[in-house]
Amino acid sequence: MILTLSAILFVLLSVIGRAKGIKTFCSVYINFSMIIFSAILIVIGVNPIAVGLVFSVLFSMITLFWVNGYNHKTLASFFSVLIVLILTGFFVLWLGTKSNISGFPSEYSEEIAEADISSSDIQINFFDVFIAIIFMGLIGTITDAALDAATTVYEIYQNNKDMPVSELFISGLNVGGDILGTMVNTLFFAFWGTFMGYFIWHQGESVLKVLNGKAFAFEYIRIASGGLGCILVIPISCITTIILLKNLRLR
Amino acid sequence: MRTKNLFQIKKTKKIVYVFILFLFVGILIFIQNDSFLYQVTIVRVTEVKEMQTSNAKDFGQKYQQEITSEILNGAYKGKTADYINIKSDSGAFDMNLKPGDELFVSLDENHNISSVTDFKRDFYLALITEILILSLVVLGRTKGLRTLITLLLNVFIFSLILFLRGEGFNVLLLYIVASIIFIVSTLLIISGRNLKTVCAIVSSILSLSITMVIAFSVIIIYKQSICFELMPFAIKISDYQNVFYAGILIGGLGAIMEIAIAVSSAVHELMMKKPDITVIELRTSGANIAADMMGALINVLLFTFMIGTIPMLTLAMANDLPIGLALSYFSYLEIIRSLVGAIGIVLTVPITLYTTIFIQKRGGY
Repeated sequence: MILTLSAILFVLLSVIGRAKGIKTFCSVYINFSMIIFSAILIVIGVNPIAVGLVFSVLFSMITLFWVNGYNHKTLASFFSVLIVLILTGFFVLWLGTKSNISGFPSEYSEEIAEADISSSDIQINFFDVFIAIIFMGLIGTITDAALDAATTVYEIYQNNKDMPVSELFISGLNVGGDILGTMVNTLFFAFWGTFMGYFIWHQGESVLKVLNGKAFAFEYIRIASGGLGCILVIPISCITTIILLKNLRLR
Repeated sequence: MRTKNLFQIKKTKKIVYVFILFLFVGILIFIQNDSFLYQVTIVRVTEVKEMQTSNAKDFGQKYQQEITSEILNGAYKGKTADYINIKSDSGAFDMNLKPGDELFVSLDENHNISSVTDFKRDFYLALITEILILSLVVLGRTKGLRTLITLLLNVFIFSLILFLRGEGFNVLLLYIVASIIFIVSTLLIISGRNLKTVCAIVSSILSLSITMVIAFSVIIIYKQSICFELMPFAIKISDYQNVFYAGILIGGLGAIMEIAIAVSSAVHELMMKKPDITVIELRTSGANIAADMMGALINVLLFTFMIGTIPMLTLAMANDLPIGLALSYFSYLEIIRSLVGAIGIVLTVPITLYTTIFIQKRGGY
């Protein structure tokens, strides 16, 4: 089944995206294997947050430098991604600690019992795992937004090299608003696609109680941090692109 | 006169901003003290004494936490309650209590805590929501505001669907109808009433339908080998198969709309700049613009769907479940979701290209 769907995806990507499409296909599978590999590393005993951070940086390097090539745009995006990762990182850490979202919610207990994996005597700190996951989810979203914003500023700059910095920044932000709107929607629909089951499960219970549930809180914070990172990365990416374009000559 | 008007507008704007800021802070303060809204008893942890109970050197260590807490609502409001909590280093299934945590509990006859059900998290969820709304509107301006309106509208429609499903409607049918409403309303609100939007709407609906036809044909062929019961939350949902289908339908919808509006604006722009542009030229530039977005969006979907299964994968593998089995238990359905979403994203590019070219040529631009 997965093979068939992958084959369809491959054919479509190579027909529509040509060489770049095939690259995209490969990057998706590299990313997928890296997600699995990071899970294995965590099980072996590597610190989950370290795994999350290293993989986040690797993910964004592959997407930017390999798929899109090494240039002003991707370099600027990469820097802005790092800045946003640091900025939101502390906030997420604080939020995660205060709101106690780590650990497995009770909704999963039957599945866990059925698969016979319910021993908690294991060498993994699940608080770290849950924080690492928020980082990894964040990076997937902001890399995209950063590149979009950088490309826009770059295009405007190429067409009008004498444009003052402030105007360049504002037109970058203007287009950024577009990216933002649709990105937030993408995240929202993806969230609902997986999570409507939760609300169906709890239908009829008190709304307040349902909204405080661990499964919901974790998923919501994960998606919301993605959205937040996306919002932050657009102006930051505009600024780094402008700085790089004005001060650095690549190639 | 003019300057005075401008000044007044600035002043009213300032007042609005200050008002909104106060409103947001006010909401946060209210939520921090909203225990009286809850039926269930809520306590705030005031003191934690921690002791190690097992001396094993590995991560299997257990700790005993002696908790003192203050009851925040109900008949025993203001009284203190005690509890003994066991936590482990892994923290997979137990709670690590800290002073300041607020808990949902049940009390025994001596008004001490007999069991803790969950944490009260509403303050933090409200906090991140408010930060999200503020930064969306501050950085995105009108577009941010429009996005916010579509989000609110969509949440409303989703709640309506939940309600209607409870009344006995078929959940898949509901979502098929809703997805068209989502497409039309979201795109209309975000990019306004114009030909670009019409093109984007038509192409989104076309792309979504074609993607779903492909996805469902594949799913029907392989139906025997899919364990829908493994979907998260399936245990308590009677029509979980339909819920899974609906999830696939909705999951990639945001990304499809995003591609559709981007491609249709790009084609529109190109045609405005160069009215005699040929279809082949349009196709090449359109595909170029979309190529960047495609890869990025596919990865967003992959991340959103797959990353969430990492905790389960690690727990399963740490409990000696082979990786292949762990993947097929906890990631299989998510992989299908990501792939269907990806197919949708890729299909949207040519569909939007041709629909837009067709409509624009007919539209007499």
